[in-house]
Amino acid sequence: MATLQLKGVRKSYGALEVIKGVDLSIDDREFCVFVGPSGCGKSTLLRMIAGLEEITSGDLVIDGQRVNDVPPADRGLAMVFQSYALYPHMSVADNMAFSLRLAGVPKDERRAKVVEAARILHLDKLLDRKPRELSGGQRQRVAIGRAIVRKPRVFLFDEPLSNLDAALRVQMRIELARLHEELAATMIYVTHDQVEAMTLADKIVVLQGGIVEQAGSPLELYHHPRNLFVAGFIGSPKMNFLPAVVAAAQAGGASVRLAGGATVEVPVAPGRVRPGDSVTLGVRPEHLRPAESGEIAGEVMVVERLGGETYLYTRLADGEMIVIQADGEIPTRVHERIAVRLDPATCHLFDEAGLAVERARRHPLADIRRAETQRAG
Amino acid sequence: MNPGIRERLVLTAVGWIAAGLIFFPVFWMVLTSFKTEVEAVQTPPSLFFTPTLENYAAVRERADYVHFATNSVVISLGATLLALVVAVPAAYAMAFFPGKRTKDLLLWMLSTKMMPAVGVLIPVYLLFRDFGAIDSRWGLIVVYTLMNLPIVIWMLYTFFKEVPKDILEAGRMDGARPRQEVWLLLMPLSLPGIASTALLSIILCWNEAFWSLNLTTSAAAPLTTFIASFSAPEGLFWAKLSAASTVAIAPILVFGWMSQRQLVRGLTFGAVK
Repeated sequence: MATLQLKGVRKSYGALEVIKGVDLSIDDREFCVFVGPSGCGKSTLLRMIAGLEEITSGDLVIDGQRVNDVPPADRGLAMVFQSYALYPHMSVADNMAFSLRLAGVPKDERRAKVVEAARILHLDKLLDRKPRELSGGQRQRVAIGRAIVRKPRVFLFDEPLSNLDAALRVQMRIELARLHEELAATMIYVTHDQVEAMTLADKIVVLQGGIVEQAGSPLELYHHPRNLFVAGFIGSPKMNFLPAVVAAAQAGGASVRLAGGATVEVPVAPGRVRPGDSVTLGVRPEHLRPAESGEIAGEVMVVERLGGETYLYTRLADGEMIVIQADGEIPTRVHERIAVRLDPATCHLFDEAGLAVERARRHPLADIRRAETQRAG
Repeated sequence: MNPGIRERLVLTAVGWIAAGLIFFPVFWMVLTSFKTEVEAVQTPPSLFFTPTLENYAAVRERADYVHFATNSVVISLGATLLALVVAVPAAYAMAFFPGKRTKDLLLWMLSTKMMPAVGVLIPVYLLFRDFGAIDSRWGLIVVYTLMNLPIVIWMLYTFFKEVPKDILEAGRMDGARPRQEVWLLLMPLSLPGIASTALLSIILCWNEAFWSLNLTTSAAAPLTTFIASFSAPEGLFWAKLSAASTVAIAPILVFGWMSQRQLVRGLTFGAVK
């Protein structure tokens, strides 16, 4: 059992405040991912949880106990560093056993625990090697092994995959998901890679400028982003934003007029917008389909063919650039004119302040935990 | 001629001249130690002569070399060890937990080396008198430690800076207390740096003459005092003085020669990053 709460947590370096009041609750066995652009404070927040950075104000509570002033090792956490931070002068086995050695665990027991962790991570044959004799992926596994051996209440990962090449990263990502299930542990994971966040997380916490923009399940963030920042950050290629004006507001939604003159009736909760309001219409590239005729039209400027799918970078009449995700087989060429049909059900609406106007219908997958969505699929 | 080659030739020549200038006095000293007193003061000096060992015999007869050498060894090693015991934690704190004034503090420590030692001779002498430290090994160990501390801390600081912070933090997560962090992680990782720092400190202690001449007479006198004792009031005996100097520097010369690589690495560290 391990739950973790952050209550009004702040961090300042002198006059500079980098974490500006974070409230967050992480459940037992939850895989929580902190994601955000560089400098958003996600690593600092993780290091504060670890005890490597002091908490300026607010409470950090683990299993109901306030641990602000508890030294790192006594918080029952283990951390995997981006640089792996293995002890270069020790063998793999000694690296993994270091915490047990400090805790005064007898040698035989130490060996048994190391062998057990090595088995889980397929490191059995490397136990006598030094870190410099290992590949990047193997070093990463040793770093994880060092964490496992301690049987921590919470695992902390600080961008653990960013030093690996693309193929290895995918492999380790799957490995981590498997480990999370096998160890049934609470994990907090920092990354700037939204694919890692989407695939691993039960809960994603999007941070920007030291505040939490939104916390929720991956599909909740995808289908119900709270503001323009989250809408643009989650999803790849990022969501298209088009300026629009509200023409009419009814019970079933709002009719908005785009710069090009077309009108779209977006199903949003009533009462939030009034006719005449300037709003932003958001729609994801994967929800746009080229058609004979449609609400918007423009000239294709760049065609990116990925094989299975094709991205069409299209300039609209008013100069706005949008991305359309089309089929891999589509014959469209540069400078061709295409039209796009909007499906109102996939459109998002944001008010003048950039906050999302609540959608009329909650997406059925938005409130289901990752493990359950996988089982359903 | 290719300008690149010419430049290299000039630099090589300058290097050899500098090396020759530094080496010549040592060479001349060793040469003189094998001459008779008459030959030693001859003008023009003779480069070819019949070597004699009589100076070494005379030096051996007049003073107990082993006594002075033992003092040198004990004091050099003692002062180096004490300096490391103080400097390792200091450099650790400065390298990994720097405050706003850490850089200033480091500079200030180094600036104390710019003050001439004679400036504090009287107060140090009075302190030594009151504490009964005159002509004692421990007194000299304390003075040498303080003398070398700034440079020892500076060197260790530079070496410690090279150790990735993550490794120590990983240790902290694994449950290492500061003492264990230093002893089990930091020191093994910067062992080459610590070794070259220790070597430099030993050499500086061994060659130190000002404080040893002023604060010791016989019981705790190191080899530098031993050399000085051959410049007698009744006149300088160049050949004997040279012989005494040669035997005094011989151990540290051999030591320095053996640890050459460590020393060069240590002294150029940080400068050539």
